[in-house]
Amino acid sequence: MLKMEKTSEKYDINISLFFFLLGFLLFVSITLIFNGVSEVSSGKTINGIMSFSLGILGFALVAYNINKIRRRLSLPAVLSLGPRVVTVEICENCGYRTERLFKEGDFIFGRGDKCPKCNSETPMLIEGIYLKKEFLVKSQGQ
Amino acid sequence: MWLIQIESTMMLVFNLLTEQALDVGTILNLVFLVLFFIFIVWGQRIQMMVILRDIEFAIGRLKLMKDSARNAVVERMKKFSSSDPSGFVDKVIEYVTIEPVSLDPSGIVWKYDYLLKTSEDRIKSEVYSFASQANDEEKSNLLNVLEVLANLNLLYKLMRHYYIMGKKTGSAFIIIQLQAILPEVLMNADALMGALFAFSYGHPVGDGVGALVAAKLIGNKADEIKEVARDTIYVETTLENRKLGIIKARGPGGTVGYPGDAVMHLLEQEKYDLVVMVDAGLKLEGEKSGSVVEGVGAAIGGIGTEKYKIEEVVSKKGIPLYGVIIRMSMKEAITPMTEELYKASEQVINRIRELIKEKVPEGGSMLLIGVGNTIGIR
Repeated sequence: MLKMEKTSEKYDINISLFFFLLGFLLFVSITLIFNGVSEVSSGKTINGIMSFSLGILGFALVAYNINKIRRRLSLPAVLSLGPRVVTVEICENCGYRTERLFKEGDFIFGRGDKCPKCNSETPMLIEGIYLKKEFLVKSQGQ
Repeated sequence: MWLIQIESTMMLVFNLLTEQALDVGTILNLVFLVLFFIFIVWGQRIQMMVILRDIEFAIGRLKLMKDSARNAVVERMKKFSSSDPSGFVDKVIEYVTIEPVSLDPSGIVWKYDYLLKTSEDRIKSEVYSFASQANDEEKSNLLNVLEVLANLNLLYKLMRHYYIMGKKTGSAFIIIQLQAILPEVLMNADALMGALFAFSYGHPVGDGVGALVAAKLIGNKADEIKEVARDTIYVETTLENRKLGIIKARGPGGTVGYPGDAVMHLLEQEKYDLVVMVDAGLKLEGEKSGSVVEGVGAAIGGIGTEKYKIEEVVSKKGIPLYGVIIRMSMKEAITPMTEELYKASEQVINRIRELIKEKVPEGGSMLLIGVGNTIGIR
């Protein structure tokens, strides 16, 4: 059992070495870019362009990898779904129809709020609950 | 100490490149020559290292998702219980249902049916006794939330297993296969995170569109419901001068019920001219979400026990079985129902009206089964 645990630990994800290599590549790339610029200004155009291109290539590789890590380690934006789930209510007395943000406890064909138009004693009927494409209220939470 | 070593190495590289100790062209030639031999000898290994790094990050992301989902579930359960739910959640998500032996396949469906019900009973009783302060709907939703978390946990563990196996054996085949399924696995994990959100708050999900159609057809007959099978209700109404029997799971808590048991029970007692099943179906990439298609056969997913029961009874009785399917993606099926899917339910109802007029004689009867999770739908 202990052996198994150790084996698992061995393969645990460790990205510190990867970040170190990225840092080193970034350093070399920046150095090459500076070197390229100085060589071009001192007349060694071919060498300078090659050095500069290599630096840019390294820099792009670092940026690509950092962006990839950022995307992989970010949680999907599920929490932003909250302000997009709406409850549609209809007053059975006067036919008034309204749309508002979903509240916990709402369910289709359940009862919602009181009708603001006719103030009927019977609360409005929840006709639908669905996810809208656009945000209904940008700043409100769930 | 190691910092000084790194600093001195960096200074050496800097000096080599800037002080013209070596010509850049010569350095590049040397680099390309070395790289050529490296790629000849260790090319595949390097490729595997790159792929493994990709998989590592994917597993890292899955772990992050699983941990944040677990914390969200624990926080949710704290609302309904006085004791700390961490241990309970960790125990429940590791539950397994052992498949019955299939050496002699005769009668295996009933064994599956029995095992699945026993498994559901066990988890249900434990969740219900732990979250004693929750109401019935909240308890059902908690069961769904735990199921989603268990799936996320399984996905993470499976990926980690094959990653370690690939690394241990150095097998390119395992690693490449893992890389091939990586985008789909991450898409499914994203969908599961959305499902966790929907089930926590009790939003209707895309899969519930069949149940929504049934609920809309039930209309104001809600007081006349009868429970004909576990978590499954039946209502009788009329549509276009024909008798319409409707079966759906009992809402608004998250459950799919047992429509197979309900159909077997009803068809033993009454005669129907037509059975129509309405369910959500997975679309192919490029197909429009919310598009409605029709066909013949049992439109129901799952392990197959409910499908078997329905097919068995309708074929014995010789009743035509039609299916109406609302197309959606995997993500749409388990996350809050979209406006397109909600609107598709009206389209399905219109089609049901046409079907009953076309296929059932006046005074005849049709049985409609609204399949799917009825969370957020009465």
